[in-house]
Amino acid sequence: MEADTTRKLIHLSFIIILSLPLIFPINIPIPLNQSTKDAYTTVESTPEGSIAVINMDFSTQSAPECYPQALAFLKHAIRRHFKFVITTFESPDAVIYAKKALAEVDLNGYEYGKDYVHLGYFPGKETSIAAFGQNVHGLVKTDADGRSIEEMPLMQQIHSAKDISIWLLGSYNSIPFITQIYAPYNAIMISASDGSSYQTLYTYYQSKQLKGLLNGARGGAEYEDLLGYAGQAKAIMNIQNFSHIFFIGAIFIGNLLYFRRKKN
Amino acid sequence: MSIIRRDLPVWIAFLVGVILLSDYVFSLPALKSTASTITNWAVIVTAFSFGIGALNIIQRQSKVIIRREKYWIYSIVLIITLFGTLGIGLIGTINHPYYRIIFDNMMAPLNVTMSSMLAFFLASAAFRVIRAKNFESALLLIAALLVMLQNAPIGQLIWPGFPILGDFFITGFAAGGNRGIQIGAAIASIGFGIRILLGQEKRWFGRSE
Repeated sequence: MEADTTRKLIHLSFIIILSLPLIFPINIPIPLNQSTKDAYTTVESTPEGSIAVINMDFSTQSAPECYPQALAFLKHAIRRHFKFVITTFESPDAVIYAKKALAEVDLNGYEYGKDYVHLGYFPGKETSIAAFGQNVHGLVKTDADGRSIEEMPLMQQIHSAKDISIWLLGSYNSIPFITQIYAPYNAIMISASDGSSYQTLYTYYQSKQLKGLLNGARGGAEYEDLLGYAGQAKAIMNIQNFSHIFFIGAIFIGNLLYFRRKKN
Repeated sequence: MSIIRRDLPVWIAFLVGVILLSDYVFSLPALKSTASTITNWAVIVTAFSFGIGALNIIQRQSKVIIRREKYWIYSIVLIITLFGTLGIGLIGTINHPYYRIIFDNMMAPLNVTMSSMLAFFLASAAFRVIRAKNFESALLLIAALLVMLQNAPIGQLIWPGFPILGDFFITGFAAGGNRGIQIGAAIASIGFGIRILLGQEKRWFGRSE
C-alpha cells in the first residue's frame, strides 16, 4: 500500500515537473559537441549540387527524437543545393514522416524528379541497402507514389552507391550502412542517433567511418542551432533538462532514505 | 531423408554465400550481376514475409475469436484494424486522407504513448532501485549521474566540469566497452557464417542435427 502511494506520488510529481517547461520554456544554451560539429562541417565541405541520399528510418516510437534530426539534414541539404533522394530501408512508418518533412520544408525551387526524388520503403533492411548500393535501378523501379523512376533526370544520374557524394542518415541504426555502403564504396556518411544507439554508433565515429554523429535529441538541437532555427529538438531539450534534474533528484532522495533506513 | 531436404539447402547456401562474399571482398566484375540478382531475390523474399506475418496474425487471432479465449474482443479489433488499414492502403495508397487520419491520430499517438510509459517506469526506478548498495552499484550510479548531466544542457550551467566528465565516460569507458562487444559479435558472426557455408549449421532451415 505504501509502495503504491509512493509510486503514484512519483508519477504525479513527474507529470508536474515535465509540464513546467511547456508553461515556462527556458532556453538554456546548448554547448556544441565535436561529433555534431563534424557532421555539419562534412555537409558544408561537400560541393554544392552534389547528389545526396537522405535516409529516414525510424518508427513512430523513435520519431520524436529522430525526426527533428532527419528534418535538419533535409534542410541543410536544401541549403547546400544538393540533389537528393529520400530512402527508407527499415521502418515503413518513416515513409509518412519523409512526406511530412518534404511538406514542412521550403523546397526553394526544387523540382521533383530533377532535383529530388522520394523513393519510399524497401523491405529487407541490410539486404536492400546492399542491393541499393550495388544497382539502384535493379532494386528500385518506382518512387514512393508508384511513378516510374526511369524517366526522372536525377535517377538517370544514380546507378550505384558510387554516384552518391554524401549519405545523410537520419536513422537510429546506421550500422548496416557502414557495413554495406561505407566498407565497399568508402562513402562519406554522417548519422543521427537516438539516446540508446549513440553509444554504439560513437565507436564508428571514433574510427572515422562516420564523419559526424548527432547525439539524439541533443544532437538535433545542436544541429538546429548551427542551421540557425529553433525546431522540435530544441523544444525536447527544454523538457530533457527538467526530466534529468527530476531523475537526479529522485536518485538522490531514494539513496538518502535508503542510507537513513540502513543506519536505523 | 531425401537429398532434396538434406543436401540441397546446404549447397544452395554454400553457393549463394560464396558468390556474395566473393563479390563483397574481391568486387569481381564477372560476379557483379549475379550477386545483384541474388540480393534482389532476397529483398523480394523479405517482402513476402510481411504477407506471411499478416496471415499468421489472422490465423492466430481467428482461433482466439472462435474459441472465445480471454480478451477475444481485442482480437476482433485487431482483425478489423488490419483489414481496414490494408484496404485503405491498397485502394488509396498512403497518400489517402483516411490512411493519414489512422496514422496521425491512432498509430503514432498510441506508439508514442507506449514508449512514453517508459519514462514513468524510469522515474519510479530512479527512486526505488538505483541505490549505492555496494562499490559496483555506486560506480554505476555515479556514471549514470554524470552522463545525464552531460546530456542535459543544464549540467553545464550547474558546473562546467560535468559535460567533460560525462564525455569521458561516454567516449572512454562506454565506447571502449561497446567496441569490444561489437568486435566479439562480428567474430561470432564470421564463425556462424563459416559454419553455414560448410553445412555444419543447419538450424536455419529447421533442423537441429
